[in-house]
Amino acid sequence: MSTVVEVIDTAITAAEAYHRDDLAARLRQSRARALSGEVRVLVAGGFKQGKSRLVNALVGAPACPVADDTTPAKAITLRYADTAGPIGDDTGQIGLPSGILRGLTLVDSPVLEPADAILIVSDASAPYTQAELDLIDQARALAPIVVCVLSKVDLHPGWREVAERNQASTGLPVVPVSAELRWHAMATADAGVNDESGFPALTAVLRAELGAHRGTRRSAAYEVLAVTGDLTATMTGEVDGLRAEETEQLGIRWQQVLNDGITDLIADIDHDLRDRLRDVLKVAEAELDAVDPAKVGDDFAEWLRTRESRCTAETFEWMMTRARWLAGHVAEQFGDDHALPEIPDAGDLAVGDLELAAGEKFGVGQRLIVGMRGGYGGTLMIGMASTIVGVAMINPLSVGAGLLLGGKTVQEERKRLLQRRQAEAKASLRKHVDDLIFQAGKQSRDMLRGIQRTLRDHFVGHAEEVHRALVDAAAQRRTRIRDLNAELARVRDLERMARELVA
Amino acid sequence: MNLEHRVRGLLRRARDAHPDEPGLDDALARMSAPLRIAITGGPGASTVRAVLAGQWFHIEPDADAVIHLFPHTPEVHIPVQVRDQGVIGVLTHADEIGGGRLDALTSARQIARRYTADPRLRGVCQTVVPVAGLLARAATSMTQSEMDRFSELAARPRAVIDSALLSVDRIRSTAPDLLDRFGLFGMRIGVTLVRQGFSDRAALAAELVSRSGLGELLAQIDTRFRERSHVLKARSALVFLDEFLRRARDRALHAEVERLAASTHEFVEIRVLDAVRAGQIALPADVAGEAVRLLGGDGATITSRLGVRGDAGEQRHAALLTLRQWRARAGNPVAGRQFVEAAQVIVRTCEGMVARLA
Repeated sequence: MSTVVEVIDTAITAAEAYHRDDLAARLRQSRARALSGEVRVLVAGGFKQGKSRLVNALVGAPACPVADDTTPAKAITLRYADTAGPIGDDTGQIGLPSGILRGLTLVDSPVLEPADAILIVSDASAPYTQAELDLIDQARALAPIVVCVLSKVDLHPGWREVAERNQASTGLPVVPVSAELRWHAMATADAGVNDESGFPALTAVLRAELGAHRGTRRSAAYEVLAVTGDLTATMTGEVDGLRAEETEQLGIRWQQVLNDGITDLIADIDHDLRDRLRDVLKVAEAELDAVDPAKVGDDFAEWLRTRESRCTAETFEWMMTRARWLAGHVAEQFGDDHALPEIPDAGDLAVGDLELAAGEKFGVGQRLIVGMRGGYGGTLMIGMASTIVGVAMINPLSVGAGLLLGGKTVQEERKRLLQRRQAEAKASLRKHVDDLIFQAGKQSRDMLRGIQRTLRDHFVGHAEEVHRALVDAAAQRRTRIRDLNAELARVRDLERMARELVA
Repeated sequence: MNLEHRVRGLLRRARDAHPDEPGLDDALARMSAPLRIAITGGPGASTVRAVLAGQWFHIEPDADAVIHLFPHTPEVHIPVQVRDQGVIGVLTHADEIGGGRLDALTSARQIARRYTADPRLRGVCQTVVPVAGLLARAATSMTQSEMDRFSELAARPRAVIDSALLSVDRIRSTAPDLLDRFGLFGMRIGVTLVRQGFSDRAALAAELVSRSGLGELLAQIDTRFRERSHVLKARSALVFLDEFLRRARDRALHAEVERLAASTHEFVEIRVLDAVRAGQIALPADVAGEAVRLLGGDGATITSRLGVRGDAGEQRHAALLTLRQWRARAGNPVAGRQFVEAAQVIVRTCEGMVARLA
């Protein structure tokens, strides 16, 4: 079995190899302590539990500042010295000619650190809280000896019950003390009060526990264990991080983004186009209801073409904006500043003119014939009736009726023809818009497919470069993981050696 | 028409409009009942509750004002739900802070002052008072036989009794009954006081009440709660009405409640006071102190607001002087908006005082 100093030396080498100078410095201190045979006793506990008073009462001097309100959180180390006073320039180190400090260093510390023994101070007002139990668990991982000190028993009538419950919940020795009584005993040199204060008992328990364990050796081993724990955590963390990176698959993602994006885009553009053109159709139909298509023919076609061109142009422009955004989004998947490919502008769509059907002519001759047809019927009808009363068939009354009916028939015929022309014009308008939707849809789809091809070709090229880099990185990562695992095995060896010393 | 009448009026109208809601009758009854104070936090809540029972106020969980207890810890925290009301903080187990020494309450008082100035508590808690609950309870119910026991202990040789008072274990063998009631701190202080000449039960009890911090707590309750109890009651009634009318979807009455809550000068004062205390309004320290005083932070009476004793003429003179001063501050063209708003509220307060002193 290796000696403590050997194990510490290995641990220092390891800490330096991993650039953990903080850990190495801590280990060097504990190496010095292990060589000097110093025994460190740490006094820890919660807020206002009487830590500093306990330390002062132990050494019999006001070494640590005490106050009713908060005191600054600062560690104070007490060592043996022939004359009282600070050691060196370090205000945190105080030397005292106190018997208990012979072969023992007391540390009043706001935080837990590895030591040969840790005294957990808690006052007798109430049993341990969860926070205090957690503190005791931490202390047990940092020191071979943990003693629970129940302070202020002079003040709390129920301290015996609290002591019993604390002993039951921790399974550790609980020593009741009263710093007040200790001070009184020292002031009056009263041995009886001194025994009552519990401090002789505390000193005895501490000495017995320290004597039972080979203190120095074990404490240094705990220090090494703390360091190996730290190193192991760092390295496993790095290994986990590297493993997590490995599982990310970049290769498939950008293609998915591109394909999904184009599919969505085609559907959106198609819908947009139909939507806009349907609006145009509605307006045009309403227009045709109000006018005679035969009279406005060319003007109407011109108006319609302008509206349709504007619609398709707007849709195409929107399409190009979306396509460029998509290209950027795909490029983001690579996570690098890679140049985007040139996306050509959408061409204009040639919008054909609306051809309105010529419709039936309603010229003078036709009008005459239609009028005659109606007038003839009217004349005959009234003339026949006239003959019954003995008047000639052609008389002023029958001629008048003929003219009236003839005119009406011409009117009706003209209206019928207008409605027919309007219906025909609307039918050809719908056909025209349908054609346009079909053409524009085809053109936009073709353009988008073209863009998709351009982007795919472009990014496939880029992905190959990236992939090569990724393969390199993955190889590096695997090497690093292998290295780390080897290091971890070494650290675990160190840990095992330290545990052997503890056992 | 004063605030109380207007709140009562609103409550009556709400009750007439919603006769099925029994809570409205209760709320109306509460307007004439004593102030309700809740005691929250701990440890020692049951002791403080017992000590404060039988005072002029009622102790109820659902209340107009709050006394919040907390021990001496680095992590002071006052729960959000109590922040909205008048709050007095109580530093409990004050005797343990100094290890039960005779001057324990003095250091507890210093710590309480630090808590009052603590930015986490400023603006939440109006003040913090240390209280030794056990001693307070024993002192308020001290019997003649207990007084006799104290006299008997104090008559023993000083060295003997002092050494017996060193720890609970020692004194238990001498006077277990007194220890259970008064605690070590109470016994030390009681014996010392008897030695100093407190030979009468009433006098000793009164001195112990004062030494336990209970006297200070009662005085704070008087200045901070009693003097403005009608404002505190009106405030909780309005909170209740606001919540109820919102639930009942009575828009018209709800709007009136909101208008009253927003426009009442007493509430505006409390809002500004909280803001000044919480340091949300930048003021020089002496001006801030004066503002707090004028807004009723040290008591709602005219005397405590002006900080001037004397007859009505002198007070009126002081009030006019203060009014002029704050008018000038409110009209200061380079002052910030928040300061000007606060100054305007104080001007209004001063005008009210001048009117009442006329």
